[in-house]
Amino acid sequence: MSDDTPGSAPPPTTPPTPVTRKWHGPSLVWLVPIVALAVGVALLIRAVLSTGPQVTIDFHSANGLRPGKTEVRYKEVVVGRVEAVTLSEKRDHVQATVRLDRSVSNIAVEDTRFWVVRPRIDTAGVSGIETLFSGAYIGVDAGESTKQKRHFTGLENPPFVLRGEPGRGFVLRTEDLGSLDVGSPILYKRNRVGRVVGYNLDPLVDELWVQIFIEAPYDKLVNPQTRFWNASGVEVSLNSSGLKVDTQTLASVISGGISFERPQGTQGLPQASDGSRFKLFPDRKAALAPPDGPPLRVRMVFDQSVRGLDIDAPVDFLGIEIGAIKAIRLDYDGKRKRFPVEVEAEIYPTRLGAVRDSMRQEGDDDKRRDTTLLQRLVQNGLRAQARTGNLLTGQMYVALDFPGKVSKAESRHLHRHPGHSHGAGHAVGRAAADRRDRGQGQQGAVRRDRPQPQRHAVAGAPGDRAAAPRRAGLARRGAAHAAVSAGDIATR
Amino acid sequence: MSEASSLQTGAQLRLYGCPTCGRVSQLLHPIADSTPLPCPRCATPLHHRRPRSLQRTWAYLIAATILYIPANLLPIMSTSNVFQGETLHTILGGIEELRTGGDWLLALIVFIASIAVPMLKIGALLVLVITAQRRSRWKQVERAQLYRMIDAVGHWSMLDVFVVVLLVGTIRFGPLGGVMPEPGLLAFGAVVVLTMLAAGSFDPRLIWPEEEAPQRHP
Ligand SMILES: [Zn+2]
Repeated sequence: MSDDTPGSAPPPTTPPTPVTRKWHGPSLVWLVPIVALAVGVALLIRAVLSTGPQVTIDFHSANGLRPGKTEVRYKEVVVGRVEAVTLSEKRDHVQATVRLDRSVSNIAVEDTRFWVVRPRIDTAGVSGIETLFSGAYIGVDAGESTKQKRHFTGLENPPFVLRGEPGRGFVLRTEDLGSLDVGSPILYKRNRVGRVVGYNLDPLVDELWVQIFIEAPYDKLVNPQTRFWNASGVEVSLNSSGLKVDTQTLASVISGGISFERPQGTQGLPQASDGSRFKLFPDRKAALAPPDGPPLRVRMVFDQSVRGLDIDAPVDFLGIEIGAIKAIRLDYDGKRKRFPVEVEAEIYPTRLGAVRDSMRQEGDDDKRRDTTLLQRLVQNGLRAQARTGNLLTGQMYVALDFPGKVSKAESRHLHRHPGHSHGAGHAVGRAAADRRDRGQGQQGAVRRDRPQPQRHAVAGAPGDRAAAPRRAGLARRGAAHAAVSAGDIATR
Repeated sequence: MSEASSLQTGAQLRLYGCPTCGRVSQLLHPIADSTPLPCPRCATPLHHRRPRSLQRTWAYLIAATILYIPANLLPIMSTSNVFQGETLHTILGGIEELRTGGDWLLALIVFIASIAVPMLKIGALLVLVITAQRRSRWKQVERAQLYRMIDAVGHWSMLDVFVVVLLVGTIRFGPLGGVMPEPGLLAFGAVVVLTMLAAGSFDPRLIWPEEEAPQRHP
């Protein structure tokens, strides 16, 4: 401590020697504060330099945003942190103050996008263990602009496609999200080739739009005919060949997923363009089924109980499923003091296959030709009949058949038709537009049914809206499609 | 104790106490100021006052004050775990965290050890150095007590550094998380060391200026 005595004079007995420690100015101890100053300044400069720009981002809600904790991630690398979350002046949104790292200070440009990635945990599983624990984070998609910006409006949903990421995005329309979530895999031959990047509900058409991104080079596999289906769960199908259980990858069973395939013969088609829209089918079977084309809306009137007939129950045509029930309504027939049941169904004429092609007559458009086809079938004795499909549950379906070929026998045995276990009522199909110019034969057929009018119904095909309002009593409520009971016809 | 006139100091009697071996030596012949006076027994240089005591105290004190700023502004440690990712902690932020977390007793302890003690130490040393420089005779006994307190409290303000070092050493979850020291800790440790050096280099005998002072300034 005291070895830096300034005195340097040697003892008198020894000859004077030059002493190196000769510092007559201020003590060397002053180096300490100088060094301290240098270190302190260096530390502060380093701290200042390592913190990048501060930006503010407006979000709809502060859900999951925690000051000092929530990270900003670019390509899953932490590039900043939320410093503060404040309510806007109008209190209609929140403002997150984000400090970006110095290394990414050039990320805050005009077309940079920010959004909040929130962990989603539901019964279907979790998407990413790390978000489950780390909480929400702010995702960044770096812009390409050179114009700096300090105030951003955060996106409510992750952007469709990230910049600079090779691949293409598509939109899938679906009515049910299932267990799909942001990050759910897109599978091709059970191989992960992309992911779900977001979804939103379109309230106007009550439809979910699922945005997916398929990474290059697999995006080439998507052509306009590609079929997507929800591969979230385990498909169990019970049919004549036995029980078949079909699972996707374990990951997609847990967290949901979408598979796609190109139907046979469409492999050579050109790629679908970026942002193309596809329908998301509920399962592979539905996805790869031949295209149905637009459905025809038909209305059938039953005079007996339709207990067991549910929405989406199938409509069979000679055993081939050609449509499904869409609505069941109770009606009131004032003249007969009865409550006929109106059943509305969508049928797909294309499912008739070759029958449709050979029986269709010339017409101006597809829809009209299908309508006239249906009318002809009804003229030829096509009847709708509610049958029991499942003996255990009592589930019913609607069968379109030609009982008219055995009309006499049938007329007599209507109450207990040999083939129909439940005493199902027969519906007499009749195209409403056909009524004005209907032939004598049909009238006769209807009259024949007269003794059992409560058992008959007339099916109205769409496309005859012009004729519908002319019918008194039945074209009420501005119903789009005509329906008339057999009893009505008989009273004319 | 204010009988300064009747008090005879070692300097007046030209007596030198050796700080190392305790031998008391008397200078028989006046010598030049710059002549070294080694202890006859152990050769420790003898002084009536520690040479350049005030200058050194000033230097350490200024250095400590400078580093006190980054010590409080910069994070002293970072904790990371899989739940929250990496979190940086400053001293004040840590105190605030403890307080809002309900551990306000712990917050108080950390506040005293980390904020109050270093600041009081720097402040008290400033008082001592300034009064010594002005050869003030104001509240000499209290100032001596203050000096003894500063000296006693000395290394206890290393508490934070000690805690962080302990945390860094013990809390290691591998990939799951851990505690890492940050630059603020360096500054904070330097502040503690520098205040200790400042207190150590201050010569408490300067609280009692030599008798010739009033003679020089009658
Ligand atoms: Zn000695």
